[in-house]
Amino acid sequence: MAAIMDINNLKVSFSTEEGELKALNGVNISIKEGTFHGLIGETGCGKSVTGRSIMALLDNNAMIKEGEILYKGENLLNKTEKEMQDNYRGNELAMIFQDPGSSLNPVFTIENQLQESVKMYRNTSKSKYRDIIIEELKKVKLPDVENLLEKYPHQLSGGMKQRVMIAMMLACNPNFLIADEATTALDVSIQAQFLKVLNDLKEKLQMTVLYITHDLAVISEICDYVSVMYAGNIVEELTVDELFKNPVHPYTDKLVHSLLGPETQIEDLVEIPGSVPRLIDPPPGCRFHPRCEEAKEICKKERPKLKKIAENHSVACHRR
Amino acid sequence: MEKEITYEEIKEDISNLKQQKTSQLSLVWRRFKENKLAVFGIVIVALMIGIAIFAPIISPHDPYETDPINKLQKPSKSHPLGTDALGRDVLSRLFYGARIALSIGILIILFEGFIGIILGILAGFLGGWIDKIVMWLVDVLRSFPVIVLAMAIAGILGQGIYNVVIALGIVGWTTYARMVRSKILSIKEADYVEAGYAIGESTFDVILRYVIPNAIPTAIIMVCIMMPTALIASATLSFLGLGVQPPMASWGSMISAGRDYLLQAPWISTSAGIFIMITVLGFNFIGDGLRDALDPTTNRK
Repeated sequence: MAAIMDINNLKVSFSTEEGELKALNGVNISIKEGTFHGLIGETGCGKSVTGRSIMALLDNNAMIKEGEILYKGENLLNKTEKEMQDNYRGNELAMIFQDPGSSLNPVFTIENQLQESVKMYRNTSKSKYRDIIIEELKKVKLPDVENLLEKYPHQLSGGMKQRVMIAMMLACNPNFLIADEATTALDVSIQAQFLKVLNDLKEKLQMTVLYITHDLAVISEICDYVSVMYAGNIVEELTVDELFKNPVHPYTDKLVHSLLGPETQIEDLVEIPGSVPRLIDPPPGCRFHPRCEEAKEICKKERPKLKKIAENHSVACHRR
Repeated sequence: MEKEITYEEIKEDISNLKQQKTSQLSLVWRRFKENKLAVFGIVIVALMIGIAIFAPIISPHDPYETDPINKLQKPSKSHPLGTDALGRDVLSRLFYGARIALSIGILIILFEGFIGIILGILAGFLGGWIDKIVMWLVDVLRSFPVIVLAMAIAGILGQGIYNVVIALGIVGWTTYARMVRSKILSIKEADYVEAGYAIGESTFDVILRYVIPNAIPTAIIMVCIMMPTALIASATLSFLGLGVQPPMASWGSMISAGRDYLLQAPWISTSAGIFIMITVLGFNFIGDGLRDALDPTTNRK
């Protein structure tokens, strides 16, 4: 399978009152067509910034310093806002946001919300809109769809809203979907439903999905590949099987072992000492070295590059 | 069993799309109706509008016809609210005064609302120097006592209905601009606006479909809440002799004219005052009711 998206050496900074915040410090991700690609890391490590960079939806104080985002061979960073809006956002790329409750326009009914996507991206007559909307809502397994059309977002539960949000994005017929912490705001049983829906869609629609989360359990359920992110860097890129069997980077290793399972005893849990560094003055060299038990002299000085160590497995660590 | 009935209802709805559009309005109306005071407000305002429209028909006398012999008469059968110092029928003048009061009120609202809402949207959405200039103007204008500033402007422009509108409009738009701006600022940051961009909407579409519809309830409520302020302010200007010209019947100038005879003929000032009060109250009730009814996220029991 060929890569549909290649993010190379992406550097993004935010200008803040305290100085330049280097949110992304050379991110490399390669996403294969038709796969679910997980992007995982602690809060504040730059996962969402990566997603927003792809959509060109960064805040005004963000600067893209370097790098490229190749989508089907085209560098999205060279596109104008107009081109992004006309040719990419919606028709090629779509994004599901973290909070389903506030991502739907409160003054429109569910039907109206979806109608805009249908109007823009499906070349059909107005009389067919409703059928398509109903079909899209059924795709995400919403119950009692006909009844739902006239409802306002605040009348639905969180899980239903999240599914409406997905339906809205799917109605655009995108090839590439970014799901930014799409399950974080949901409770566990609804999370399960949501994952089932996604899994279902994965088989049916052949869509490529970049799944941003900090929940390893979710990753293990639906993703094929995973990129592990730490403080604005990708530290490891590997398959999901490898992630749990053979994590190479010390951070990935710790992360996997901090996962709670039904059998886990509190004593067995691995804690990663310290916290994510401040990105305004990050530590030199490998950004993980202050928290790494295996750090060597070189780790403090030189930033490790992402090296391929096996098929579908790259890691950025001096030690390996 | 119940579910089947709703399903049938929905099926009927599907066959008739137009019917659903009205159902949204009827939802607002249903909520509005629950508020007894708001309905009372509608009745009052409707009554006032009726009086204003049909003033020539329902007035017992010509409001401008003077009758020096019968001046300062007590309320009687032929003059239900008595007569004023020139012998004009007070009730007829109050009816004609409703025309002036409501039309001035509406003109002020349209004038200041138009300026305020547009500047508020621009300032809120575009930000930057436009925002700075607009907000600076608002701050400067609001640092004056409202009625003093309006008096100064009305004094410069001279008497007359339109000058009252301009004077109060220049002072009044600041409230709209401020409210609309802060509303736009919060909408602009909302996730659904970002979601709109994410499905490929243009900035123009985002303003049209996401920003403005969400700001409209605020604007409507504001108009209803500002109407009483406009009524009182225009009455104040008339009272001070800076508004509507003397022969014309206006509530404010009637209070002023009756002031000299407050002990002999209290009905002149009092009845005009009561008319102002009732009208203002009516608009306030409507404003409150609308605020509750228009917000789609209000919790319903």
